[in-house]
Amino acid sequence: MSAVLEVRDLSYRYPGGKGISGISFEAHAGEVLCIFGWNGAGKTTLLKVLSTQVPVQEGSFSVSGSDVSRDRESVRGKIFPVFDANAHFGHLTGRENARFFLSLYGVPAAAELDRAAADLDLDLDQAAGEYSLGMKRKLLLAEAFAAGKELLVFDEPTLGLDTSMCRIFFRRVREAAAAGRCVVIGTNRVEDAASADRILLLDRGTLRPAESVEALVAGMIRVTITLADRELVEHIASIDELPRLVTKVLGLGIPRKIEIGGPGADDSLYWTGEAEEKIRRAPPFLRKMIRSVVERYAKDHGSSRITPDLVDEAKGKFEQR
Amino acid sequence: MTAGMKFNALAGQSAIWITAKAAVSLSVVGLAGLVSRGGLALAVIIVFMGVTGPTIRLVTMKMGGIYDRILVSPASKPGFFLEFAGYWAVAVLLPLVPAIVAVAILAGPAMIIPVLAGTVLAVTSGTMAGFMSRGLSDAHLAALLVAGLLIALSLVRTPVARLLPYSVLAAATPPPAALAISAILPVASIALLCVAVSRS
Repeated sequence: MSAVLEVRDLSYRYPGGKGISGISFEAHAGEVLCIFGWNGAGKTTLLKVLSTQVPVQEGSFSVSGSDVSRDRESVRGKIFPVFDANAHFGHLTGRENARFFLSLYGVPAAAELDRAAADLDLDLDQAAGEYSLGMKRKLLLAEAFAAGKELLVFDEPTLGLDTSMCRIFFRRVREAAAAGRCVVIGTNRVEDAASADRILLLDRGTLRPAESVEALVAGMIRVTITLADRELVEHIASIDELPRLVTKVLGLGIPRKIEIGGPGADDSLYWTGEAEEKIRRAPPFLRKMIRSVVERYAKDHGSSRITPDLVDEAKGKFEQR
Repeated sequence: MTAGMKFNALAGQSAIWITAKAAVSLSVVGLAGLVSRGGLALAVIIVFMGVTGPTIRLVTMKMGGIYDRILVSPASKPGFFLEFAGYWAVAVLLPLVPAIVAVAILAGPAMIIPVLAGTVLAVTSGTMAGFMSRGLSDAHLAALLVAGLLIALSLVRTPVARLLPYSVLAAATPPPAALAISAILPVASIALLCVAVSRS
């Protein structure tokens, strides 16, 4: 397979200091590559640099042999980027919008647009201003598939799409890859990453290799479920465990919010539901003190995950003293 | 993609809005014409409509992400911005047709030249202001400053005033040479716009 995208030591720093640094990778024709990372990892920054929305500060990249530092316009002609902003003219219909944006790429709105829109169950003759969030996203995706460029770049492509539409989107991604296109997807959704041929893990602006979804999940999944009165944090080793956990939590109360994140994202300590339950049994005036003792014990022992066993251990050590 | 569709996308306005602008501009120019200031009134209207329209539309496109999509496309940026300014020149002139006809009747058909030159200068300045503005506050301030500056420079008797098409439009009987000179700045503003956006 020939490399469509070659990224060499790419860096971009915002004035505040955050950004990406030393990014190098290749993506090939017919490949679906996932750039996976939690919020703030630098995915959007990387994809903005790759789509020439922001300038390269250090390093370089090329698309099908065209180097961005030497021939930016040629690079732009080979990429169709889709970002999380649902950017369309609200007073035009979906079809008029698609025609406008495709004309910028010298692509006549062809039958492919109708086919993609029909696949995604999108009415192109409705005003874009009347579209729901999901429909606006579908229009962007339909434009990308109709553009037929060598490199398709998607940032959070399934945002606002329901499950069946996500499946259709990935089917279309597979078709595009089979037609020889290179697809790069930036996401923080494990389900999206699972559909890729290869995953690159972006963590705090730098790349780490992730060989498989399982390897990715095993190291990183943290589920925070906010109930009416408290926050429950659990680690799960596999995404397959998530439905079981959600079912269990649903039995406790109505969840207001479920977030999936990585324990490496910050230095805070995570209490499992069972560990929280142990603390709840203590008299109210002692809870704060026990919590503080356990957390200090966990930190001393380099543990970020507080389980019931760790609570007992910490309490035992405290009582011995 | 037809020119009509592009016009509608980049500078389109509703028929009601165009009719209202036509009625108001004709009334203002008509009233000013009673005291021989029809040309001046038309010049002020052209400056305000020509500068604010493209400035605000560009910034609105920036806020909605449309502008970024255009920038990352392979379309020629000077070409796009010239096209944008061109559509806005049409959008400004369209509702002013009755007022322009009134001024042409009162001051002579040669007045069409400073009207066109003034519109081009105003919309290219407005496009430039929109290109440089980062948000709506910036855009409003920039549009106000540019429009205010163009009017002030036209009204204050300095050598610069002779170059501006608005002072020619405001004069009751401009000399033929002034009509030709009034085309210099609009052409220069087009060149400046092309240079400014070419690195985008």
